[in-house]
Amino acid sequence: MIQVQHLVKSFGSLEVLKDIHLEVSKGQVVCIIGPSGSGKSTLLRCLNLLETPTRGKIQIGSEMIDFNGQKISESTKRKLRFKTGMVFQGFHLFPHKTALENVMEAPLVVKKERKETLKPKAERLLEKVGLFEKRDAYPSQLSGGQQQRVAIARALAMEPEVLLFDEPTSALDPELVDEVLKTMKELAQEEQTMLIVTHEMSFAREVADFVLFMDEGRIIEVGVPEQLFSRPKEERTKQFLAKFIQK
Amino acid sequence: MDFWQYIQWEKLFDAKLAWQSLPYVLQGFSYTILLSFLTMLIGLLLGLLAALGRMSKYRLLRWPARVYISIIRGTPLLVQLFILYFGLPVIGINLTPVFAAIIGLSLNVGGYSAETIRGAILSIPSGQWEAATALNMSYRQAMRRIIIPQATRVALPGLANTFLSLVKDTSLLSVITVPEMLYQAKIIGGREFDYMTLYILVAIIYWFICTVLSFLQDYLEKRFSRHIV
Repeated sequence: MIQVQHLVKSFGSLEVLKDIHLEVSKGQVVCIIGPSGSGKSTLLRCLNLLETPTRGKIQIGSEMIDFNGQKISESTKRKLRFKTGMVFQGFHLFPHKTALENVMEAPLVVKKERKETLKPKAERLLEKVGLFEKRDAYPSQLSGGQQQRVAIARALAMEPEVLLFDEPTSALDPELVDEVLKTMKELAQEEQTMLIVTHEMSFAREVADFVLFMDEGRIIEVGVPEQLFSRPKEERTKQFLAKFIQK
Repeated sequence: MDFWQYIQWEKLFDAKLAWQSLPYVLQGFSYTILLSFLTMLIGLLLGLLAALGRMSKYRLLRWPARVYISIIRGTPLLVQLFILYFGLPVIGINLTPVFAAIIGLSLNVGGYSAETIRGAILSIPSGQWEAATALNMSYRQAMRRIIIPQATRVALPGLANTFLSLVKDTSLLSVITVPEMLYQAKIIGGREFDYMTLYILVAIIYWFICTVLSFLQDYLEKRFSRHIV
């Protein structure tokens, strides 16, 4: 499903991602953990081309781009981006549109889907995230957890093959975290392929097929949750996890 | 020696003359209002284009927009109107007063509103762009559906200012013989040897219309911020 080879991303002279390799199969849930500044978010943002990688290859589904310094056209980028959906830490719902309109917006504008067929589909998605009755509410009338669930429905509306989550619960009040995680678990059970940058270790442990630990722009360790959390091989992973348990 | 005894208060405002002149002054008022709305509309369009141009990644769009905004904001409107109406005939381009007025005022509104619009667009959090991009919207789609509707709310107070200035600036058109309100007042005032009454009358009408328009601004601002905290 996803193949990343030799991925490098630099901002000026600063190399944020260094020779990243990653392979994810269809239906897998991958959690990415690591200290802040380790490149986790940048990796996600490279996958949907919010950042253009400096070098390397990204393949998602049937689309592949080889970044070799040449300019990548907007239409090529869009083809790859079509395979992905993104959920942000800060939700970024469109404040001037209702929950339902937020979900319908992209299929309506980008895919030119017809409103009549789209509306029931969008309503089903809101139902899936448990917010059908809030379909006419504006983002400002929703709690953070509800906003994030609408954002998940909005990403799903484009029928992406991979869902990318960039710290989806980090901006939430503690009591609102669980409702978002519950929605994500349900998606995992439906075999939605997902890449999740998160600090929710118990969630990662429960849901992930495998976990990546990143530090200083590299993937330091990859493993199934049981192994990585209980018996980390790398010293840096141990240190990071130790800090987390202390907290 | 009392300064105040020389002031002829009874000549301050001749209500009867004001009443009789009102129909003629209102004729001028229709020019004032029509020209204001028309040039605001064209000006907003120019302003949007100039704002987008100024933010473009292409130098070929950025520079003309910059130069345009700089010239409009850096020269007096009256001079701009003189160039259009009295200057252009010298090189063989003759514009009617109303046509020169439409061009001059539209260009002026465009230059000023460009900066208001640019500021408003820049004020929209980058997360909105990212969300739209992540959903695969193009620049155009994101601009039209996501950014501009939100930026409108931010731009409203600034644009309302521009519009109020514009309504009052139409009085400058009297010097290029557009028969707007001040022009009418000047003619009647000269004929009746009573400028004071006529100028006070138009001042009241300008003030009245500007007050009405600022209520309209309040209404629009409320409407556009309905769902925003």
